[in-house]
Amino acid sequence: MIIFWIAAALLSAGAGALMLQGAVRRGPALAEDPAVSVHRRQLAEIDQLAERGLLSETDHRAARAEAARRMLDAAEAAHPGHHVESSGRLALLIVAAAAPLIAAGLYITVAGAPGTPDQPFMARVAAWKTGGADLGWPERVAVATVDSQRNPKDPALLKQLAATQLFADDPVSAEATAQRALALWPKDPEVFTLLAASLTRQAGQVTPQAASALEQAQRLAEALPPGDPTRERIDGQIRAVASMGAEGQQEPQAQPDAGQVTPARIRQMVEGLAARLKANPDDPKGWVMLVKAYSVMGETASRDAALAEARKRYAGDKAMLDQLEQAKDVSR
Amino acid sequence: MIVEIGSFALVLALVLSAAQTGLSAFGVNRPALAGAGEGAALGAFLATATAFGVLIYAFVVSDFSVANVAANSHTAKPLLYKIAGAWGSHEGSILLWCLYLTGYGAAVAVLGRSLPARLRSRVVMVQGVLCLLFIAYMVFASNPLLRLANPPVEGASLNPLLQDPALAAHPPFLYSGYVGFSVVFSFAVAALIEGKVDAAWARWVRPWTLAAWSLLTVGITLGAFWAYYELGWGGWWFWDPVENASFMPWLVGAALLHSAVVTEKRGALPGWTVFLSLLAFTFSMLGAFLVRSGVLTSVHAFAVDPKRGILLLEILAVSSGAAFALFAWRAPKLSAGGLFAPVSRESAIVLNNIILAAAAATVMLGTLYPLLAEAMGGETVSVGAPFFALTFTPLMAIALLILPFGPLLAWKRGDLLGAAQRLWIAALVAVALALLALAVMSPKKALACAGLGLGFWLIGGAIAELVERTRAFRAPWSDVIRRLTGLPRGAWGMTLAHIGMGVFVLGACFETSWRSEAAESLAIGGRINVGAYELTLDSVGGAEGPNYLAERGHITARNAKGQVECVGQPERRLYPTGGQTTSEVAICPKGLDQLYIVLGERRAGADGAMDHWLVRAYVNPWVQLIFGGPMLIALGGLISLSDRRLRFGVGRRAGAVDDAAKTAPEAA
Repeated sequence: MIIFWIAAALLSAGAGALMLQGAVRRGPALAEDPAVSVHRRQLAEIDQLAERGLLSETDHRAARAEAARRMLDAAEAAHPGHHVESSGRLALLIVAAAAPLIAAGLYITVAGAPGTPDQPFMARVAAWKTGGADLGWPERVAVATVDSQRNPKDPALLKQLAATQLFADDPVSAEATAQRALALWPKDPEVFTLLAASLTRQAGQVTPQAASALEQAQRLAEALPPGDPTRERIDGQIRAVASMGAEGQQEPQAQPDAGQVTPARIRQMVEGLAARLKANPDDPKGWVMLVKAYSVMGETASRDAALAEARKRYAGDKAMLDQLEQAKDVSR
Repeated sequence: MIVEIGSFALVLALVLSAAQTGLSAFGVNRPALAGAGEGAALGAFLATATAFGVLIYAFVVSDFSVANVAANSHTAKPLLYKIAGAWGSHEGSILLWCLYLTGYGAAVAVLGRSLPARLRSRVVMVQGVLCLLFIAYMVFASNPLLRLANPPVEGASLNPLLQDPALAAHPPFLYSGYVGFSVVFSFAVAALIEGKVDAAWARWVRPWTLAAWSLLTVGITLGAFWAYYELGWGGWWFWDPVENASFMPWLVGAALLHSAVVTEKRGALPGWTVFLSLLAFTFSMLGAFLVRSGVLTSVHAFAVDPKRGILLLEILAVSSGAAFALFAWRAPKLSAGGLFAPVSRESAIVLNNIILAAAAATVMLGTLYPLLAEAMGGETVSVGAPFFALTFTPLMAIALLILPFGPLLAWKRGDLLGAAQRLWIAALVAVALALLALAVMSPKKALACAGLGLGFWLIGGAIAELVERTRAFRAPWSDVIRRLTGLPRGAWGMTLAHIGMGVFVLGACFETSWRSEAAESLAIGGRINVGAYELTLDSVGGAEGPNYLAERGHITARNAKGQVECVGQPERRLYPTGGQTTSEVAICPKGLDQLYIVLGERRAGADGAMDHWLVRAYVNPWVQLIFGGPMLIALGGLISLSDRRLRFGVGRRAGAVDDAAKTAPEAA
C-alpha cells in the first residue's frame, strides 16, 4: 500500500508542479492586442490574394478598406491584456497544496480501496493452480483453458478441457474443444464420447452427429486389446450418452434445460463405478478412473477417500501408485 | 495497485478541474493565477489520461476485480476488442468523453497563447466547468474503475456486435467530434462574458469547429459503415434515434462552419454564430443523454439506468441552460456587424444556415417526438424513414440546389445572374445526366434521377467554382496554373468537401433506388439470382474464432456468362459466452458496387431435414460512394485545417504575423 501512496504523491506533486510552472510561465501580455494581429494578418492576406490574381481590383479595394477599418476599430478597443490586480501567489500556493489533500480525502471516502490488489487473470490462474483444493468448475475451466492455450498441440489437454467444460455446463464450448482435440488426434475414443455427450446435451437428444461420434468411439474401443479397462469405460460412457439422449427425448418440452441433467447423469455414472468397486474392488483401472472422476468433479473428500483406499490396496505397486497420483492431479 | 492509482487519478482530475475553473476565473486579471489554471487544465488531462491508461490495462490483463471489465470483457476476446472494451461500456465511454474534454481544455491552454489573455482565461474556465461536471458525474455515478469484492472467474464479454474494427474506431472519432464542440461552446460563453464577438473571435473559433466537425464526420461514417456490414440488413442509415443524435450536432456544426466564415470575413452574424456554437455542444450532450438514459431502444444505446440518465439531463440543463440564459442577456448587446445585400455570399450562407438549422430541428422532432408522446400520453409512436423522406430530404435538396451559387457570389453584394452564367455548364451536364438516367435506368424513378442530377450538379458546381477562381479557359494557362498553385488549402478543402457531398448524394440516390435483393432458403448446391449474378451455395462448414464458433458458407457468384465473379464466405457466428449470434456478411466489391451476401439461420427442407440455409443477397450499386463521399468531406475539412491561417497556434511566435501574411486566404 505504501507504493500506492508514493505513486499518488508523485501524481499530486506533478499536478502541483504543472500549476506552479503555468503561473511562472504566464508571461506579460503580448506586445500587440491579438485581435489587432488577426486583422493585420487579414489585410496581408487580402493583398496576397490580389497579387496572385485571385481577387479583382475592385474587390481588393473594398475588402482592404473594410479590413483596415476593422483593424482600426480593434486597435482603438485594444485591451491591455490582464489588468493585474495582484499576483494571487498565496491563493495559488494554497490551491496547489490543497488539491492533493482534497483528492486523497475524496479518493478514500468515495472512490478508493487503497489496499485492494490488482487481480490480472493470469495471476489468478497461477494461484488456482498452486492453491489446488476445492476449486469450482469455472476455475477449473479457466485453468484447463490456460493449460491448453500454452500447449495448443496437446490433445490430452484439450480432452481434459472438453471434459471440464462439459461438467461446467458449457456443452457448446466442450463440443468445439473436442473437435479441436480430434483434429489433432482423431483416434481417442474418449474424445468421441465427449463430443457425443456435448452434442447430446445441446440438442437434448442423440443427434445423427452424436450417434456418428458414438459409433467412432465404439469402433476405436473395439480395436483396443481385449480386457483393456478402457473398453469397459468407453462402453459405460456410450451408455450414459445414449441414456442422456433418451431422457432428453422423453421430456423435450417440459425440460428445455434438459442438458442440465447431464452432470447428474455423470454423477450417477461415477456413483455406479464406486458401487461396482465396492462389490469388486480388484479393478486397478477402475480405481484410477474413480479418483480422476472425483478430482474433475471437485469432490476432494470423496477423491481423498477413494485414493486412500486404492493406495492401501496397491501399496506395493509403484506403477499403480503413480497412476493414482496423476489421476489425483488431473484437474490441475 | 495499478487500478487504484487509476482511481486516484480520476479523483485528482476532478479536483484539478475545480482548480482549473477557480484559478482561471480569478485569473482574468491575475496572470499568475490564469497560468496556474492552464497548468491545472494540463494536469487534469494527464490525470484523466492516466486513469484511461489504467482502464485499458485492466481490460488487457482481464482484471475482473474491476466491475466494468467483468461486465464487458472476456479472456477469449482478441486484444483489439479488449482495448476497445474500454470505451464499449457506459462507464468507459464517459471516461473517454472526459479524456477528450480535459484534452481539449489542455489544448486550449497550450495552443491558445495567441489569444487575448482574458478571453483565454475565460475559455479555460468554462472548459473547466464542463470538465468538473462530467468528471464529477463519472466519479460519483459512473466510476469505470469501481472494484468488486468477489470478482467472477470470467467476464460477461462485450456485445458481439461491437466486436468489430470499424466499431472499435467509431467511438473515439465520434467523441472527438462531439466533445470538440465543447471548445467552441467555451469560446462562445467566454465571448458572451466578454461582450465581444468579432472577426478575430470567429477566426479563433474556426479551427476548433473545423476539427470537431471533420472528426464527427469520420465518426458518423464509420458508424454507418459498421451498421452496413455488421448488422446484415444491407442498409447504412436507419434514422435510428442514436444515429440521429450524432447527426444533429453534425448539421448544426455544418451551419456553424459557414456562419463563422461570415463573421470572420464580414463581422456579420455574430449572435447567430454564437448561438450555433452553444447549440452544437448542446446537441452533443443531448446525444450523450439519449444514448445513456435508457429512454431509447437501439443497438447503439447503452440503455443503463434512468437515474444516471437524469443526472446527465441535469448536466445538460445546467450547462446549456446557463449558456443560453447568458446568450439571451448579452446577445442584444453584440455588434450587428457588416451589412450585406439580399443577393450576396452572406445571404447565401444565411439561407444555407436557415435550412441546415431547420433540418436539424426536423431530425430533433422526429427523434424526440416518439419519446415525448409516450411520456405524455403513453402512446407509442414510431417515426421512421418515411417521415424523414418527406421532411428532411426536401429541405436538404433545396440547400444542395443553392449550394454551388454561394462560393460564386461576391461578399456584400453579389451578381446572381453572373453566378448562374458561370454555372450553366454544370447545370446542363447535371440535367443531361439526370435525363439520361431517367431514360436508361428507369422512367418510373424520376425523383431518384433528380437526385442523381443533384449530385452531378454539386460536383459540377464545385468544379465550376474552381474554374472561376483560376480563370481557366479565359486566361493564359500559365496564369491559370499560377492561380491554381496559389490557392490556399482552405479553398481546396472547401471544394473537396462540396465534391464529397455530391459524391455522397450520387451514392445515396443510386443505392437506395436501384438496389436489388433476393432471399431464399437454399440447400447445398442451391442457387439464387440477384441483379446480374447467380449465387451458388457450394458448402457450409464449421469455423472457430478466438471467442466464437461459426457456420461459414462458401458461396460462388457467377455472371450471366457463367464466369466466377467472386467467392463469398459469409458467416453466422455464435458467441457462447453470451449465447448471442451475429451475421458476418461477405462483401464482393465490383467497381463502385458491392455484392452483399448474408448467411442466415439453418432451416428445414421439404423433407424436414435441417439442411437448408437462408441466404440473402443484395447488389448495392454505387454504395462505395456513400462512404467515400463523407470521407472526402472530412478530408476537405482536415485539409482546410492544415491551412496555416487556421492552425491552432498561428501568431503565437514572434514574427508569426509576417509568416501568416505570406499565405493567402481562401476567397470563401
